Amino acid sequence: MSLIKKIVQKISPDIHEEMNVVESWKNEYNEQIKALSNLHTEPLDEEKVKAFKDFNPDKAWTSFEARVDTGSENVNHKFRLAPLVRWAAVFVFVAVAGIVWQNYLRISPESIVHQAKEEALNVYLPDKSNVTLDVGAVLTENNFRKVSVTGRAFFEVAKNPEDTFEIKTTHGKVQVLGTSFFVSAFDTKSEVHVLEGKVALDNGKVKIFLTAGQKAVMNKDTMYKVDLTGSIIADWRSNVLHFNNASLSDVLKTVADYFQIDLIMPENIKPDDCTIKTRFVDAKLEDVLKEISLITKMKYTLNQNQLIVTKMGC
Amino acid sequence: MTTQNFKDIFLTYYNPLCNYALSIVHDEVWVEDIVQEVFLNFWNQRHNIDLTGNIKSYLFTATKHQIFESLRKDKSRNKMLEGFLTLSNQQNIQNDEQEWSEWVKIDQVYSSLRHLPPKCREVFELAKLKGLTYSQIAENMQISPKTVENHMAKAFTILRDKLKDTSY
Repeated sequence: MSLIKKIVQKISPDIHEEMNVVESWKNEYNEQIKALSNLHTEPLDEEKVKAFKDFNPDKAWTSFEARVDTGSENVNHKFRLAPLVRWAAVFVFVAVAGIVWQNYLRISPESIVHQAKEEALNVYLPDKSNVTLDVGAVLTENNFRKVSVTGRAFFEVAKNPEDTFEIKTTHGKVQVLGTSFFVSAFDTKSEVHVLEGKVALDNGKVKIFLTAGQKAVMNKDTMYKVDLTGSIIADWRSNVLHFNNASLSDVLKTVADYFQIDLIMPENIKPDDCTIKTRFVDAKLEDVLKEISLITKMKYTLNQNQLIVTKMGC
Repeated sequence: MTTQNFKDIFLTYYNPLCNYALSIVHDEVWVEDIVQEVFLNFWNQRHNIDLTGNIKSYLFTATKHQIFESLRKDKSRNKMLEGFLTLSNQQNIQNDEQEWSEWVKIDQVYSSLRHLPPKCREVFELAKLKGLTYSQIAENMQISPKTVENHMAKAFTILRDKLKDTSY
């Protein structure tokens, strides 16, 4: 008995209260025994014994419990144990919730579809990557860090060396670890233009790598790297076309892609050695072409959705 | 005070308090309301009440006050209130304590009898609470005096075992 007392006192200082309760139970039962054995010497008040009614305390307790909500009290009592335990519990809860959340997304069988209908749309992915969709573009979240895209999109992929970010287009896969780059995925071809970091392209047959400033085209049959001279930025997000020492043919290709028109260049035109250094903001196709033709000796005709170049040179 | 402590106190005193209240107001439904109210107040103050203090006195006094309050609010029971006031004036604190103990004691006997099988309990109640002799019981229940003795012996054994098991 005294040994138990010593042990429990070491475990919890609050045990005094518990000990008192146990002690009172013990006394209570002793009183019951006493009451029973004293029945013949100290008879109970006969009137009271006759009047005594059992009010069913257990049933009464159930209804009382419902009124005061003792359940939450129990929980509170547990949480009162120690602040450190409480914080640990919160931490564990958050961690478990995070893991569950992430795993749920990883195995999520349902795809989430984002579509930019009337204006460009910013999509924040669960892995903290950011995608800007141009009008008409559709992004489908297939899984955690796995998406497909049609149309034009700009990706800023959150760095995660252990988990590649994958973009599916009709013509192949784009795999990245953490970069920013443009993707244009249309029926006839898909283009990837890398602004920062490194990107791998895979169409099932070949795999090529792109670094900052490089661009590649994938179509039904092939996939090839486009060597851009100088630097080119065609950012439809802020409507900026930026050319720094870029060759005329690269510029024209970029402009055609940017405004989504077909570029027709006669084969007999010899490759130019012109470089262009200019910048357009919020410019119309007509203005861009006009300025380029002023800088160079390019001649062209614009026919609906076709840009036909008739002469190149400086 | 933990919820378990509270529950034990509730179960121990619910019947004595209800019966005490019933001896004053003679309304079974009403007394349960009163006692529930008493325990509700007790619950709300449970952190401020010293568990080692005299809980019995606290609860019975609270019940008495609760009865008084209920009677005062309910004008239709004015007659009962008068009766209650004269009763309270006649009784001093000493008598109160005695009466409370009596109710607790009766409940203790009754609650310990719950451990007994039905026949055994019937015999025991007749013998100890109604004060019948063994032969009177035998006649009453149409059983032999020897069986009455057996039932009594069994009752005592069960009660002592039950009660001793729970204390340590």
